Amino acid sequence: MVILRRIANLIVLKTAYIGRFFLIMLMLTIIVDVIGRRFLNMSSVSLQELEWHFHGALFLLCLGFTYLKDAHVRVDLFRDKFSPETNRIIEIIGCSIFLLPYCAVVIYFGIDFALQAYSSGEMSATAEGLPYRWIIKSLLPIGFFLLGISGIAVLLNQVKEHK
Amino acid sequence: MTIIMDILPLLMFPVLVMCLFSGYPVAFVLGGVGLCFGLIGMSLDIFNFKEFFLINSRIFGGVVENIVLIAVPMFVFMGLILERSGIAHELLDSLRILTRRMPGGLAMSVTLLGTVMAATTGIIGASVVMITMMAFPAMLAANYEKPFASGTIAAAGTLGILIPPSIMLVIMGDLLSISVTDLFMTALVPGLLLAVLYLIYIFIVNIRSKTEEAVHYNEPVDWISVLKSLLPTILLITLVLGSIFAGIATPTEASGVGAFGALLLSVIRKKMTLSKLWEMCDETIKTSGMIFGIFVGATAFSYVFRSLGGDDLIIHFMNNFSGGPWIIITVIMVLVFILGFFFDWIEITLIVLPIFMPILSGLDLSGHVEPSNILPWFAVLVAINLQTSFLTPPFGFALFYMKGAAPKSVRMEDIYKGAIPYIIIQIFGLLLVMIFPAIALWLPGVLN
Repeated sequence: MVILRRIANLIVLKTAYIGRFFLIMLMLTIIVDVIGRRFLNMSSVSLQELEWHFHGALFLLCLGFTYLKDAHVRVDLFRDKFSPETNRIIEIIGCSIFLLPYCAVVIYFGIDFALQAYSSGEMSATAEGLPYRWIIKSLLPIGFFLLGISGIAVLLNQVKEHK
Repeated sequence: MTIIMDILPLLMFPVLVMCLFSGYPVAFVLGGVGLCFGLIGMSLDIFNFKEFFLINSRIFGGVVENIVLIAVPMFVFMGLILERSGIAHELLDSLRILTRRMPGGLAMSVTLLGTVMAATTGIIGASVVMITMMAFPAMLAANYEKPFASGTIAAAGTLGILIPPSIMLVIMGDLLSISVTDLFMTALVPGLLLAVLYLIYIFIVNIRSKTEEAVHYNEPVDWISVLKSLLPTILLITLVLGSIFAGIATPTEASGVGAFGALLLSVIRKKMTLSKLWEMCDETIKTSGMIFGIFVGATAFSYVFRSLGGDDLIIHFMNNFSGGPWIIITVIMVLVFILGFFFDWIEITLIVLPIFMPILSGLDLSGHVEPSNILPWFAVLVAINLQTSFLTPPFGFALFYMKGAAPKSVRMEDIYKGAIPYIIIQIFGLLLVMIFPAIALWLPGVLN
């Protein structure tokens, strides 16, 4: 249990580095794109597609990190008044009936979704766009996998404290 | 059985609200409740398990592939850099010097800071806390009354959802399928109008009182350092907005350039270190994970809602509703106002707006507002309305955040009392924009 929790924490917290990378890259790509288009008269479809690729990667891979850092919005009107014990039970129930099944469904169909893109060799609709749509599409199940892992980590933490 | 099938989509909302009040993260409650109702629908044979596949394509097509939404993390990043690097604090100091001879000068500086910074960070809580920590102690030291000081800060901190480049407007534009550039233009004048009304109120209240800042009054002013701190920041924000309004850049492009500009500015000012930069990155990542988590959850929720026939139900209900467009607008406004007591704008815009979208685009306000202008005008009304709601006791969202960050001597009653004049200003502003849509629609009309 302890090892599992540590591994989960490790994986998800490391995604912060990936997030930082994509955030900075996103900013720089926009700059390069703007300079190219406005000043050098070189419009690039693939740069624009790269922008939403980076953005998608940024938020999909960081959903789990956000949860581990407890930065997802909660409606805390009653939460502040509940006892820590009640809040712990809510977290355990929430993880088991909301978060984990939700992740499971998105991952299950997300794998299909990415595989379809892979086997059909899907690429950008425009000729100058980026190829290999399966890469960004596979980030959907991967992101939710990381979210699920962090859900399990939170769950284990709460169960442990509950005892 | 058929009755259950008919009202099943409507049941989703009470269940959602109940589960949200548990305090479990909104993003996952949305996804989880959507999933549960999908499963119930399956047991009633009105939902097919394979339909969950389409949730993936919706998330991909609607959120990942979306070019407009890229502006959200970029504006958040820009706002965080200006705020956390201390540039915002310097800005406040310079504004204080500029307004030092005005009645209520410090209160005016706070309002101006709220206008200029325009809460690009996105979350109401965060910007209210920031301005509270920055300005509340100074305002008390300058002998402002506690209620007045807290009302001013709360109003200035929430103004940001209305004044571009507000990320709420980016998201609203995306949801209502209207151009974000247009929406920015529509919101600018009403936002500035409110700021001016605040300033007038501050002026009137302080004209006789002795809240002047003795500290700054007689000291010689170092104008060069004031200009040095004021000009680059104002220039950056003007450039970002100006390039969008002039049609030179899309909001997405301007957001990236703005973030980069803010970063350069903080480096030139020697206010940036690598560890600070990573901290701001992590904060941006968390905000972006939070917003898009809800986005994705709401996509799943509203997909199931539609698939169970919820859209038809609403349109059917509205067709049989004989109240006319003004009643519909009033009903939606009241609903949004009440929801604003409990939820941040992210939940409200993402859950409520898509539901009312089919009704809104069909509204006929002939003579008052052109059909093509209804959506931007309405979005601005919702924004002012939400801001008012965040300020309204006893639930007002912003007021609680403020209590948490204010000095201990400030009581909740002070905060409630101070909010009231600003709420009256807000309602006045809201009515003005409702009765004279030209306040909002003039600028986009001129610029386009």
